[in-house]
Amino acid sequence: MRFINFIYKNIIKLGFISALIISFSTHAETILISNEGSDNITVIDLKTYEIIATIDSGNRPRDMHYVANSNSLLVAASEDDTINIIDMNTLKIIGNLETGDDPEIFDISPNGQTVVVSNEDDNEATVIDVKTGKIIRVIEDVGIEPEGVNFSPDGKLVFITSEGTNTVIIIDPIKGKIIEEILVGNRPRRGAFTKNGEEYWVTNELGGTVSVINTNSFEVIHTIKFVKKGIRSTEITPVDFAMSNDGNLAYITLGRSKHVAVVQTDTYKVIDYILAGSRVWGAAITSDDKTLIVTNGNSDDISIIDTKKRASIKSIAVGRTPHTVRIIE
Amino acid sequence: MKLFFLRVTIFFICLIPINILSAEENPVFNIGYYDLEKDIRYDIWGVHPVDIRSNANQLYKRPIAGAELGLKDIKPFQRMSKVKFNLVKKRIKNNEDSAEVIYKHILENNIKFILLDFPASELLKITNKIIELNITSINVSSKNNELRSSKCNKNLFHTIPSERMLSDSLAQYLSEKKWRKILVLTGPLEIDKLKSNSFIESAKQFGLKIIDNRNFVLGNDPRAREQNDLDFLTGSAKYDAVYIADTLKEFSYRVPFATHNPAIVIGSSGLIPRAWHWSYLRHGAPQVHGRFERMHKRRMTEEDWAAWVAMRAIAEAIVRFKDNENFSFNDAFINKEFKLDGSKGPVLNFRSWNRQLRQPIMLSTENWVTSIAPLSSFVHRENNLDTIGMDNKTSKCAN
Repeated sequence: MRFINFIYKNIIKLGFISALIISFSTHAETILISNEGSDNITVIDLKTYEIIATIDSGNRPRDMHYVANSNSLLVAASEDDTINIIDMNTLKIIGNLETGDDPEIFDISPNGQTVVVSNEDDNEATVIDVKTGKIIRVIEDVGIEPEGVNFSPDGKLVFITSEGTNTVIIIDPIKGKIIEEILVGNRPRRGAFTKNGEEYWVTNELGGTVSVINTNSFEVIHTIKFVKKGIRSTEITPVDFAMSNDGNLAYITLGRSKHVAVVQTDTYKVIDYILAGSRVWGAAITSDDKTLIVTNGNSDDISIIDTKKRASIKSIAVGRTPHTVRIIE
Repeated sequence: MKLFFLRVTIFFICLIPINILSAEENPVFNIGYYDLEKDIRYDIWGVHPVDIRSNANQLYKRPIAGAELGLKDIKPFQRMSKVKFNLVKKRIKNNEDSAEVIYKHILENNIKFILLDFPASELLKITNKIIELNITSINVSSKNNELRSSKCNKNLFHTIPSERMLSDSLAQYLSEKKWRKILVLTGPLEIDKLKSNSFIESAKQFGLKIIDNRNFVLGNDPRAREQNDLDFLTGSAKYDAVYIADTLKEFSYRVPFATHNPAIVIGSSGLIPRAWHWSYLRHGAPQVHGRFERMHKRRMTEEDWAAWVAMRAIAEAIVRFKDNENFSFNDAFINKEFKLDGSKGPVLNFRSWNRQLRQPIMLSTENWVTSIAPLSSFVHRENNLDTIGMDNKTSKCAN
């Protein structure tokens, strides 16, 4: 019995040691997936595509952002009404940011000092000081069910998509004021700035389109439509973006249609559709633009896409309902 | 006395700038909401005997609650719609002529759009009377098939699904599961018979076999045991499922797990087809439920949803189409570009031939949405949502 105990204890010790080794290796290049159904974050090696760790997060983890200078990961834990701060050295939650109710999508200001989060249940956006973790102010009436949040590249404005009001609302996060409201398509989910900052693209999930907004005039200058033989228009439900780092292409996940659209940013032309998994939504691209990674919300896996071949080369089973993907390089 | 006049003058002077300010505001858009003071559908139909005694919140299920949430939800549209939405409620006494009262009320209160919460017979009277006013209306509660198949009115739209849409949804599910032999139990009310007939037609369309249609009564009389005792009522027959049409619900509550043969129960009990159920977790539905429950302290019913989405339809039509030449709701609603978000998944719009809102149906138990119709294996040449309900080939309203 003693002997068994001895072995048992040592196995536990071994477990700890291997966990330490894993934690050191997370400095390496990794893919991070938030699984909103299983309340954890899957950490995958970007080179070998092996799962190297699973981090317990708060309840219903959704949007995530990596903060390089502190090697930490911010994760919106929607059901806990907080943003977890996860230390990527120890893979443990080391603190939380106040967020107000039901945080879903958030963004960090370019100077790293402020976080703005959408509160889907309260029709509000909350501005948070990263240093203190406290709420600076709450901006009310940002439309029903606000979702997408993006700081403008100069950090002065925040663009918020309002799913229930079919608009993009532009706020000044310092003054806490709504500056402009722009009508887009139905159920705008997420937004992304083009690399040159001149345009803000918005996915309209129910409209099945992408609205392109000029960031100077605040006007919709183009609407991108998606047509693929064999897919009904009602199946085309755009959600997330990955903008290529060279500025030439936008990869747009099309939800129920199981495809990712490849769009030229200068001509707005859809040049290809790449098959991914069921309800493909979250997207991220590597800094060399060679690999696109998307989460498939309905099949509990992610697809690794070779952007040159424009084809999925691997799928990896992760946690339940994978939501957001981020890449640390 | 002088002081009094001074006060009055000051009072009126104070009012002036307020008036100037309000004149600059967007014009008010009045939405009329009409229902009956005493409506049997909200009195006793479907209320559990315990709830009758215990919980007042459970009893008050008028869909006006959905319209009230709808009003709150479309207020943010005002920045875009350039009109100020206002809900004007009018409850009609049962001894009044509802058509006459509504006709007058519309004219006297500058009502621009109306929501109607009435049984089918009243609805017909009202819409026939006000047709000359050319005002668009939405039916938020009557599921009557005739309103969508033969007695259509060009100004009357429906956000609540028809009985046929609900029964088609069940039939699709049974067909997919290959539970094809169905025993039908029909209640004593006229509306129960309409429900059963609708299901029997759906069964025919989706290749199910009705092995018998039996009438039940609520009671304990041993002389009527063939009609009130479940062992007799569901005995001496082979079936996969028991369909029950029971508007009062008191009988149907006891049918699941009590049939003579092991079989699923569907219809008014067991697996129930609904436009909306509070247990649905996807497509933004929990956000809508959450807002509704915080506002009204009860679950959101399918009629609440129908009234809520009707308010959204009004705002959506104005925001998207107000700049069109000769704007009218009738045209906007059937415009190909009209897209309504009902937080049920796909984009919703109205069938041009019978003004019915296309929509998925939730096949739900008391606390879970088991499946959503149309099921993926049922495909329509134009819109898969048209595999449920009367499409332009089967509705006589299509010309």
